[in-house]
Amino acid sequence: MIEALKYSIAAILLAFLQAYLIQEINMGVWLKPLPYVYLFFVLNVQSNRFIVLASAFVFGFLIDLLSGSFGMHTGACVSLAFAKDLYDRKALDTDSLLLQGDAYLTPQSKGWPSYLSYVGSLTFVHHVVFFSLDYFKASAWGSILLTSLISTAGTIGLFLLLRASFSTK
Amino acid sequence: MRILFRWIRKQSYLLLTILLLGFSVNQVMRFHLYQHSFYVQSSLGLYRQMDEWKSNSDYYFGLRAENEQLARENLRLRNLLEQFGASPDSTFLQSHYDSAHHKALNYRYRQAKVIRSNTRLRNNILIIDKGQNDGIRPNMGVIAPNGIVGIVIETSAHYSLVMSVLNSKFELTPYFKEVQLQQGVLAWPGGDPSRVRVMEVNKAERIRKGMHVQTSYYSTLFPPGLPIGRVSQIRESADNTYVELDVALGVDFERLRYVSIVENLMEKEETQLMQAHQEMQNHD
Repeated sequence: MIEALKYSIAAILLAFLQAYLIQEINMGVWLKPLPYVYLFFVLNVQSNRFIVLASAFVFGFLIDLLSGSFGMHTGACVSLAFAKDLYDRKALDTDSLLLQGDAYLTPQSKGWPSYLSYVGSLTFVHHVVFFSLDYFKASAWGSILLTSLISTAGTIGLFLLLRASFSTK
Repeated sequence: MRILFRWIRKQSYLLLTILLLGFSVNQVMRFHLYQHSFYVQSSLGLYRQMDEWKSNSDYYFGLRAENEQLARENLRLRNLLEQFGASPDSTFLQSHYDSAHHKALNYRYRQAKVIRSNTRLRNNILIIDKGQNDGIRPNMGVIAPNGIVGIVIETSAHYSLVMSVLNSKFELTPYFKEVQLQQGVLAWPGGDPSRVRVMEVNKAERIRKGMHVQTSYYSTLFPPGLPIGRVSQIRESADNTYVELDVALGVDFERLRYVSIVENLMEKEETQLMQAHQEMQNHD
C-alpha cells in the first residue's frame, strides 16, 4: 500500500516535471528527452503485470492531459509496459535478482553493460512509439529512428542524473 | 465457444495491451486530424477542460503578474507625462496649443481591471473593479494603451459601469492626425466590434485610408491625441455632401483586461465657464 502511494506520488511529480519543465525546454530538433520512463525501471519485478499495464495507461494519460499531446504518451507508456513485461519474463533473470535482494534491476545487480542495455532498449521502444505517433507518417521513419536514438541517449543521461540525485548511498 | 474463451483468457494481457494502444492511437488520430474542429465544437470535453485549466493557471501564474506590471508601468508613465505637461502625441500639442495652455492637459490616471465586458449587444457595457472609494465618478473617460474604451456612467463603492465605445449612445468628435482636422461624429453602427463609423466629414477634406484617428481637444473626458484607430474605408454619404468613414479600432474589446480611468483635473473649471456662458446667454 505504502509502495503504491510512493509510486503514485513519483508518477505525479514526473508527469508535472515532463509537462511543465522538460517539454518547455527547447533542446533542438532531434533531442527530446522523456525522463519520466525512469519510473518503469524502479518498478518491482514482482508487480502484477495487469496492474502495471493499467497504471502505465493512466500515467501516460495524465502526462497527455498535462502536456496536450493527446494519446502519444499513453501509447508509448502502454508499449513500454508491454515490452518491459516481455523483457522481464524472457530475458531478465528475475529469480537471481530476487535472490540478491533486489526488487528491480540496478547497475550493481548485473553490471553496467547489462543495466544500460536493459534500460536503453526499453527506452528506445518507448521513444520509437512516441515519435511514430508524433510524426504519424510512414515516410518519416528515418527522422523517427534518429530522434528516438538521440532522445534515448538524452533520456538515459537525464534519468541517471535523477537516479543519482534520489540515491541514498 | 469454450475454446474461444480460453484463448481470450490466455491472451488477455496482449488483448488489453492492444485495446489500450488502440485507444491511444485513436486519440492521436482524432486530435491530429480534427483538433481544430474539436476545440471549436466541444465545450464539455475533458481535454478541453484540462486545456482551460492549464491556460487559466498559466494566466494566473504568469501573464496576470506581467499584465499588472505593464499596466502599472503604463500608469506611472502617463502620470509622469502629465506632470511634465506633455501629451502622448507631441505633434498634436505643437499644432494646437501653445505652452501657456499646457495646464489644460492636466489629467490623472487610475488603473482598473475589467471584470465583465460584452461586445455582442447593441449597447455594450463594461464593469471595472474601481468605484467611488477609488475616486471614480461618472463622466470620466476610460482608456487602454491602444485607444479609448468608453465613459464611466455609474459607480458604486467598489465598481463602475462603463459605457463602451461599442454602444449606440456613444458619440465623439474625432481628430484626423495627418490632416489636422477635427470634424464629424464617431459612433458605433453595431455589428463588427472592431470597427466604428465616422459620419458628417466634409467631402472636400483629404481623408485617406490608413490615417490615424485620435481624440480631439473638444473632449473634456479624454486627453487630446489619444489613439482611437485608423481609417479603413471611405464612402460617400447618400446626399453626396459628406463622406462616411469606417475606422478600425485600436482596442481589441474581446481581449480587454486592464484599463486606465482618466480624471480631468480641470473639469470643474471648464464646467463653471460653460455654466457662466449659458447664464449670460439666458440673460440676453
